[in-house]
Amino acid sequence: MTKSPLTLLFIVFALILGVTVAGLGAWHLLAPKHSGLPELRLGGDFELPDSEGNTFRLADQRGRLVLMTFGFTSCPDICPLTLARFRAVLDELGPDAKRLQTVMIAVDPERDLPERLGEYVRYFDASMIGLVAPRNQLAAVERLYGARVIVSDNGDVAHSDYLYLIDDQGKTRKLFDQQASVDEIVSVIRSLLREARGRR
Amino acid sequence: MLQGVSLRSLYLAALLLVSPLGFAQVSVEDAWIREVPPGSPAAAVFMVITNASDKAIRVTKMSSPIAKRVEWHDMKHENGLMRMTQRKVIELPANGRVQLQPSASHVMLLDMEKAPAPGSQVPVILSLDNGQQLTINAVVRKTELLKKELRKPKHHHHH
Repeated sequence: MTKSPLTLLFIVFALILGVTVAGLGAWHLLAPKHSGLPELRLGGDFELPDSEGNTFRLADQRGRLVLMTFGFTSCPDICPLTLARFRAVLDELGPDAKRLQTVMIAVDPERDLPERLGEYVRYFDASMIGLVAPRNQLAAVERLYGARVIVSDNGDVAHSDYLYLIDDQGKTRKLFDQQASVDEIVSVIRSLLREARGRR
Repeated sequence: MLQGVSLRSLYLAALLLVSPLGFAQVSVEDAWIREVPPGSPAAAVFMVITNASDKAIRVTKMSSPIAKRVEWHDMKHENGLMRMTQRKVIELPANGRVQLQPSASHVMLLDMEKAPAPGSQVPVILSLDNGQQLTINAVVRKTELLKKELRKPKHHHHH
């Protein structure tokens, strides 16, 4: 049986196509989805009361990312800037925003009364959560996250102003400083969301 | 003594007369307030203060009708810690500009009954030791960080 050159050409073409499709499929299945971000050695599960009187447990957030900061409601510059940054991140994420929980841990419990704290965080986004607790309970979480808070007698407060990004497994994956742009934060969140999808 | 006092008040009166004519030694530009939630008792005012005179001038008093207290605060960032301290003696250097800007310094409005809404104007009064009294109208600005927000027309408020 003789094959015409045209049939041969067709077979070769079909083979190449088959190998390419299989290769792409294998790459899609096996390629690393890892974001390349290391698991940081600070952070971990904790629980604190939120401004509505419910208990917030980081462990309940598995499957979602958490973007968290330490702040206080009578802070006029850095804290509203940070929360405005959270608002912009949620805005920019669009439909993916539901896979991110934004949290502010209030560090000045004498003045950060639950009602005021709730009003403060919700102003920036209805989905934002404010956490506050007696000082000793806060101190344990601050230690866990390597955050420092100093409240002076005259009411001045000095506090860590990092933004913590926690992945869908509760691991701290990135600390942003105040120079971080919204675009940078959104792009890191998207890479962690891809990684989380790859795990499922 | 009496003569001294009257001379001084004459001098002050003269100053007050010339001030509106554009000879003010100290002037303020770009005054704005960072938006804070309605329940927040504190807000930061940013501005650029120019002292065009040959002498250092001190700010002796600061006030605003919406705040019980007004203070000058300096911020310092060290090892991930933001530290805020009150400056008690506020001196505007001769022939100099003082910039109050985010993450550096601000005039802080404290114990406010209600935080002013974005877009509103808030009077802040600075009294100086040269007798000059400056009334600044600081506008409350929404913190917009996305390019699309910055492109939005100013009167556009829906979300």
